Amino acid sequence: MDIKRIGIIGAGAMGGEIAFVATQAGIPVILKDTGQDFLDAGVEKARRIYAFKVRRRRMTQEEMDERIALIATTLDYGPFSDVDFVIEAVPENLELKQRVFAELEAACPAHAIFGSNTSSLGITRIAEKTGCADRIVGMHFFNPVSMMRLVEVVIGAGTSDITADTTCALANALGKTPIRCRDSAGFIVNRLLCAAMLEAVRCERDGLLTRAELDNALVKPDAGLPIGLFKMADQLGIDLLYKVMKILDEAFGERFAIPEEIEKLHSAGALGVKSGKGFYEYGQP
Amino acid sequence: MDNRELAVARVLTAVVAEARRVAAEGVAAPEDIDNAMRYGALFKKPPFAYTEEVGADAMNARLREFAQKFGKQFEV
Repeated sequence: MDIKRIGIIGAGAMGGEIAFVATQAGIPVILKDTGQDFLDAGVEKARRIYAFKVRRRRMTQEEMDERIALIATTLDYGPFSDVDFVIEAVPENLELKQRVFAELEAACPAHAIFGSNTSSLGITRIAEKTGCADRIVGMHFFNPVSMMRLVEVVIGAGTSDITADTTCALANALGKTPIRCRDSAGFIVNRLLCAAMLEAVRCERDGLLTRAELDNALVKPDAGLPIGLFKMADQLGIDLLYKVMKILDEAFGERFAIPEEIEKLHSAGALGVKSGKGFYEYGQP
Repeated sequence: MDNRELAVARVLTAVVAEARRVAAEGVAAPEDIDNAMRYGALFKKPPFAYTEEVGADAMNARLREFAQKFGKQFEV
């Protein structure tokens, strides 16, 4: 399928970054949200990423202006009657996503494919309120989207092969590396990162090393992580970590049970860098 | 192994154990799991490559030992 225009629904942090990625590949986008403020923030996000590239001389101002011109915005579904692919990046709420996909089914052409950026809700469940599960797929980007190559292409119970193939081809066209997986809690990366995080917590609890020593050890060549796990948790936000762990605990059981150390930080509102305190302290935010 | 080596081994091996479950459940193929961890988590030693590095037999022995000493997260 030739993808001539991409709809992006949800202009939050992810929506703006996805708009950047799509327009950088020369594909026009139509960005939708429920308020002008959100749309402005999304466009501004894309603009800032482009401006950074221009400052670093990775593109000219002229090229940036051409790309920015490919971003259109809307508060209603009107323009979605002319899209080939929609990427959904609305907040992680099942009822909301189910409603959005039902609305997309009604508003978009019969060939349109709908990729959800969800990280914690199942693709099969999201598709439940539609009659087009075959055209619904997970398209899970990683933060920061402008830099991280991976897209987890999540195959729901009803997702067709054509949908999966088209989504992988689009990911490639966007300069990303698609990896297919089945619809399962945590998909691949979040599940394995949580397994690593939990073991790090156990190692500290067992008195093997302090968290700082552990983080230090994990970035050395013989371990090969890009950043320490406690540091990463603080950067991502302990609220997000908590949410993912709860889902994994529900799906897979005891080995993903939320450890006391994380339970305590979470209830105390010590959510990491954004709170000034998490596994580490950061001084006043 | 000193404490540092053991801690690193535990963390990376916990990922190996969970990755084996991901593959066994048919969620993704081993090569895809490794690439996902390379490009989504920037791991230089994704689980199946790390297993090759340690040696398949040695890794199985380690998983049995760690399961006994450190818990069910290592039972595969």
